[in-house]
Amino acid sequence: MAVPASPELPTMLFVFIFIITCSTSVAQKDEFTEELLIKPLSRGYVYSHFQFTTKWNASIHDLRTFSHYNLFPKSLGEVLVRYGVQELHLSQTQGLWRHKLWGYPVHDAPPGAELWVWFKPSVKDIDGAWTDLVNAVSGLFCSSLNFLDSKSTIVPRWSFRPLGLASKSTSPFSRSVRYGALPKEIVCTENLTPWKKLLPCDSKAGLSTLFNAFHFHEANYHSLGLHVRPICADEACTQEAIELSQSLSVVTDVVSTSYTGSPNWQIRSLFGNHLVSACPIAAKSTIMVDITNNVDQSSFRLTPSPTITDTIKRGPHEHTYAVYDVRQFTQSNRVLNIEATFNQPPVLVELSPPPIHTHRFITGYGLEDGGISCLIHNTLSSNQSILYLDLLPWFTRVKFNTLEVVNNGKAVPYKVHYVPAKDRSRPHHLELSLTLWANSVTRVHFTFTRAYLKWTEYPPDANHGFYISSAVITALVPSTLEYTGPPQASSRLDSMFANQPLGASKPRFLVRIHTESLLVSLPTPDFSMPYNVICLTCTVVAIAFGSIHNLTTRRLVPYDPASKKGLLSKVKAFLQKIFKKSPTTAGQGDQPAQVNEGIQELTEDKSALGTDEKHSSQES
Amino acid sequence: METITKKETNENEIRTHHIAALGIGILCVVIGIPLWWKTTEVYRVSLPYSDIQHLSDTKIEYLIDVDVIWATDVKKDSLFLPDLALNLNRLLEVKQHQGSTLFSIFRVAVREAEKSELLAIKKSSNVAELSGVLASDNVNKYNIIITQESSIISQPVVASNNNVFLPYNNADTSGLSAQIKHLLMDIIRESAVFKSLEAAQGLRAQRPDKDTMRSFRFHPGFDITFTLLVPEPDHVSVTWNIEHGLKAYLEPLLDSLKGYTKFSVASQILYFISLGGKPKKGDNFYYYSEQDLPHVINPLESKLGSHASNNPGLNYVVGVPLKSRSPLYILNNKGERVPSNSFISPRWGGILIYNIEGEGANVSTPQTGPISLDMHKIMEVFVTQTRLLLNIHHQWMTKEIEVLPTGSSRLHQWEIAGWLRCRCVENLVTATTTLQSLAQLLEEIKNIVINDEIGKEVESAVASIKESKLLLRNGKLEEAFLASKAAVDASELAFFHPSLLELLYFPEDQKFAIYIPLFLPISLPVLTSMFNAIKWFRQRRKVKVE
Amino acid sequence: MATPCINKFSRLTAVVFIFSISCFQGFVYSNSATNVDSVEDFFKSGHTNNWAVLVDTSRFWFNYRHVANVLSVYRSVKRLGIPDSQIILMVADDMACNPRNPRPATVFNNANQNINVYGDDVEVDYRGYEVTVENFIRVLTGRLPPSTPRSKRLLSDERSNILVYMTGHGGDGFLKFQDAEEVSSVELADAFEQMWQKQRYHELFFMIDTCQAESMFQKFYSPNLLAVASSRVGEDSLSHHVDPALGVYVIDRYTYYALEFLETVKPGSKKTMAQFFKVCPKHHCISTVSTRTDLFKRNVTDTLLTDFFGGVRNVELLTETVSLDKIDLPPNNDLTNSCSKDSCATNENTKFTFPDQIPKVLI
Repeated sequence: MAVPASPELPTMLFVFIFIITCSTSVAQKDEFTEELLIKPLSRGYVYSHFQFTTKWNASIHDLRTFSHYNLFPKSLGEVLVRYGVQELHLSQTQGLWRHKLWGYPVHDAPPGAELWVWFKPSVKDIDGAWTDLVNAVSGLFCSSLNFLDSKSTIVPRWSFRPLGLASKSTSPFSRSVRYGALPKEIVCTENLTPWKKLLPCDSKAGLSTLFNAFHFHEANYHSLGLHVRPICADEACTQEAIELSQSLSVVTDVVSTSYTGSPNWQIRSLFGNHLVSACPIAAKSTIMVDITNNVDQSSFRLTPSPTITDTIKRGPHEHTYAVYDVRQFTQSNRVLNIEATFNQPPVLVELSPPPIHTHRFITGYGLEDGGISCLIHNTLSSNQSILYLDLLPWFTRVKFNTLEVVNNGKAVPYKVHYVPAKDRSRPHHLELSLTLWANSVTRVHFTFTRAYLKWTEYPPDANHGFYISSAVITALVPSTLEYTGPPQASSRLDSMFANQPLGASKPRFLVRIHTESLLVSLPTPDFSMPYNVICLTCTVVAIAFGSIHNLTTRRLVPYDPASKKGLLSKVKAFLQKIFKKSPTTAGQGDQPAQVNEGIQELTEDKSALGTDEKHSSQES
Repeated sequence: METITKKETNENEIRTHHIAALGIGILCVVIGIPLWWKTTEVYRVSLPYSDIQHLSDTKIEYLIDVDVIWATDVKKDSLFLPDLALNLNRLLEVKQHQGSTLFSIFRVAVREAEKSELLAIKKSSNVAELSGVLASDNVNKYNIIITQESSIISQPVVASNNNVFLPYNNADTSGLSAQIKHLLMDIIRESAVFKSLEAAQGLRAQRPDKDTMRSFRFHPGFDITFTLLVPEPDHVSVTWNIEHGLKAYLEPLLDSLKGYTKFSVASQILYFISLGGKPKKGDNFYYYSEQDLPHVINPLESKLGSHASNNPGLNYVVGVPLKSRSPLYILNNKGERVPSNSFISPRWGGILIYNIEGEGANVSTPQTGPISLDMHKIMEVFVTQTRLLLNIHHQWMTKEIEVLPTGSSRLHQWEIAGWLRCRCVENLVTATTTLQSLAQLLEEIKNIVINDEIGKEVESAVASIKESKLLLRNGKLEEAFLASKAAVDASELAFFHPSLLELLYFPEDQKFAIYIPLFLPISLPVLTSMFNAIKWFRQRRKVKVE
Repeated sequence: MATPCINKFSRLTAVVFIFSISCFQGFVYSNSATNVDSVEDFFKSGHTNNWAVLVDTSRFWFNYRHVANVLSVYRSVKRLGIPDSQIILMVADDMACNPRNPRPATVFNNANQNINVYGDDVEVDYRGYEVTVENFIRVLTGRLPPSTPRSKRLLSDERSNILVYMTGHGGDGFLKFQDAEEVSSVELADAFEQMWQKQRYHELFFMIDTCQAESMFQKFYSPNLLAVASSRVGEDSLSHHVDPALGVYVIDRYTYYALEFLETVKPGSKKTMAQFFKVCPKHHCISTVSTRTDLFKRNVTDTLLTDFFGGVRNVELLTETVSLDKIDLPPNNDLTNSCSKDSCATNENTKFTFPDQIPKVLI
């Protein structure tokens, strides 16, 4: 039963005080914030990122934590504690994020579903825990993550380090991490429903009231993210807390979806509704509009004007945000509908390409061999070291010796970690550590052979092809050009405004980008064939057997037309009489045509002697 | 002459051919058929089918020890006690329950109280002290202590251990034994034991019994979830000290059952969710009538489930009504307020409607902090519901009986004993029916693979059932219960083993379609030539004989 | 085991029949006829919970109508009160977010687009490749791997009424799954028998909309089964109408008319199964709707539609409670600050820090 902010309140002031007292009293243990970042992208695209962060001041390592829940969702907590999860990162995405055009999102996610998990060091049987976990998570989110079996799961060596707190004793090469991706996974309403159920305000109040499945699925890109990790409870980091970050990103093509082709947008046009309330449980409820490229309002104007405009310097770049306090704007039953009106004629914002972006594709032709190429662009004026992770299904048999990393015609030195696949049990796992030269394009390339699958291994729509999941590139870049990610200490977007840690003279920012996923077609058989094959082989065997059998058990004797006929030939003669309706066949029809048949018939007949014997016995 | 040799060579040749045909035929029969049989055979471990069949024939007997202790100063003749023993034994002899396989056996011992015991009884000033006089650590042994009527014992008193104090009212032996029997039957929950047998046997179409329909069947684990619904966190802020509530009120109950079944308890607070359905308006209040209540639960369902566990869940929901709909009461069919303001949904849990305003809090002026709920009141309701849902609740047939309160939700020893007895019988029957269904299915459907693991589970289940029955007959209730639990676990594991589906059924017509292309062209010539050869040899022998 | 049961049942039928005539008003199958004392209206019917297994077996865009069929039934049973946690929804393909769908996140069962049957709180339990014969039979028989989450399990008991709805392409004695495999009527009958043996249902209503649908229930032999099929053996089931915007048929005839009927049903309605069986006469359906009632022990004219399509929940008012001694919160009970000894100890021993995102060895 939805309960919108009731109009019958005596004074809004009271409510406001009340909320504050309420939230502060709750803040002792849990704290929930909701944020929305709107960033205009190139060519009239608009990126909206909803960020819901629940911070639970309790240790993920203390089992007793997970029995009494307030803001943290119980259904998720139970899964975490049961399978000994330390960190869980899940994304479900439809569409492809175009880094070159759109810069970096807050959380990068590949098309389809991706899950990576750090288990607690105390978990012994990690593979077992992973299997059970993916089943539980698939039930929780109505997804098919249970297909993440050993055939599509790897243990990343370098690429996926814990994003949250981890004990120092955790070896950098810990085996307690698992990574899996399902590039074909569909993301639809049934995934959004359970995801938003985890929010303390569900979709009854606050920013989540803007969720509208129709608008999301019409968008060019949308991504659901869920990240759980242990973080510091306070700045001194004397105690642990658990952070649940739920994010939803949408990229809308405003120009082509508006009837007039104008790049103007407003909350209503983006989400189909304006904002009526803030989530009363949330400690903070804000909307931030990125106006870094529009500080002077050269491109568009925002109405209403923001609560504050804030500029932060991250690394070498400055970012400016217009910040709206939702609670303030939705007081006394007002609605908030932020509107961006472009100047006439519209000057669209253009983003410059970010430091690193990629393009990955299949090479080769035919159904036997193929290759995969990944072009990694570095637009920085300095060398940049990166990690490259590729996960390929076992049926694309990678020829490791063909692996080459080339920059401008010259081989690039690299460090490699390669785990070859095992048929039907383990995928190929390739990790590279390499350096991209300044302002250059590096090409990673290798070839593969397509394997044959067993008949039952083909999916019902085998002709559609088989997906290869995205490669993952991880780097620490010095630039924050088109960078939106929050610092490591907190997933909250407003933590960007926090002071940069001192002592880091040259701050570096984590960039993790996913390339395109690929589609390969495998040789697919005609699925009605098994029965044909059975029939054909059986016939061949039968013919071979028949002739051998005949040779060993029968002999040929000359046919004597005068002799009395056996039963079979009588029947035959009778049949011939009926079918041919020839008057001559009746009694003594000895046409030459029949002689031939006669011989054949004899061999098949109950042997010449049989008839002889009959003959004699009849006579006697 | 020439013709004869020609005929002979001819004959020899024919003979060779026939021998070859026979040879091939025999080869096909001796090697081909067993090979085909072996390769298409379904792997099936042999199961103890006859044992399983006999399981339901063997009776379930439970033995109960009863000590009747004569602790009065009343002098009776020396024959009184032996007479009482005789009477009791006659009354309580082996009893069969309504033609079923359930039997109860009582082992009665009658003795006079020892001096020290008498002294202690006399010294006690209240019943609570009395119950401590005779320690009874055996769950399955009941002490009936016949005392003088006194100020503290004016009617039968049931202590929290298995001691029952019976004031002596100068009845004769037969009257006294009848009284004792009555008490015993009540305290051991004889009728409930039989009911659980019936329920487990799946006589489901017969009579739905309130207790069995309401309560959960035994399960090795239960998840208990307490949920607080705060429909308007922006208007009314509510908290609860659930940790304290659980520790103080519910834990004693769960501790009493520790070792028999596992409970995991969790709590959560849900915002912006209110009870479903539309409450009706009365004067100054709103209400749900009994017919509305089923609709209250559905909207909550989606937020209550667990994805990590497959244990049955007991859901307890405290619903704070909407401000515009409070106070909110539940009215029964007569239009009266239900005092607890709560209800149970069978095999699901219970809901309590908690009116904040009713508690004296004034909502219109904001509080300095959230309103804290009275856990004592809440837990009284939920402890009662837990007892009902787990079928611990004891309904006394005998009137005028005093039950000593335990003070907390801790269970009386005789409650535990009664529960164990019921569950043990239920488990035995459940395991037996499961095994029999499995056996029947496996016999019916010949294509199912039975792997070693299933075989092992079935055998261990059968062994556990037998062991449990034996233990139950020897009066070792706890051990019998644990064995029956093992039996249920093993039988369920066997029945629901995922491998039982690995070979799906293959329709007969498709078998034909696959076999015919090979078997028909091969078997026809082989068979006909074999047939001919046999015929030829026979004929030849006949000719020779002639 | 089975035979004595059947005998008992048939004896009981007589009792029930008389009983149901004498108190026609909604007191369905209150087996309590014999046990008058306490059960009264606490348990109005023989079941205490309802489950639904709804299966669409067809993949590919041109089978849009099958997805619309199953989602329409899903919507109806949900509206009539079966909670999502007790509905197992299997949809073989994603139509709502299919790239060919001009209206994403929607599925309509009517070209007028009155109702988006996909809704915005749909929960699909088995989807895409997961919809296989094996999984379907596993769900019915309960033989799922231990780690299967609760939402993917049919956790019914001997007091559950179950609705099984299937739609897809079928033939005489089989129903195709995803165009790749099929479930045969014998398998289905055996699966139901296994459910009966393990007391996994009280009554089961099987509804199927496919060609030659009748053949799917002809092999049933377990008690308390009731079945309806959209067509006879030898008949095709036909689709209803096409949505020009989608370019595909949007619903099948039988389901269309069945839904039309279901839309008139409200929770607590007194409509019976007999009325439901009359839905879609031959001039509407073109195929002949076929039913099977011989295994069912009740009279369909007395069986409420909501016994299968609605969610029944019995409730019992709690009149008295046990009394517990009030225990006050111990003073200085700082629950937030206490941590169990083990966890505190580990906290002190191991210092937690944010690790480097790229191992040092590589830089």
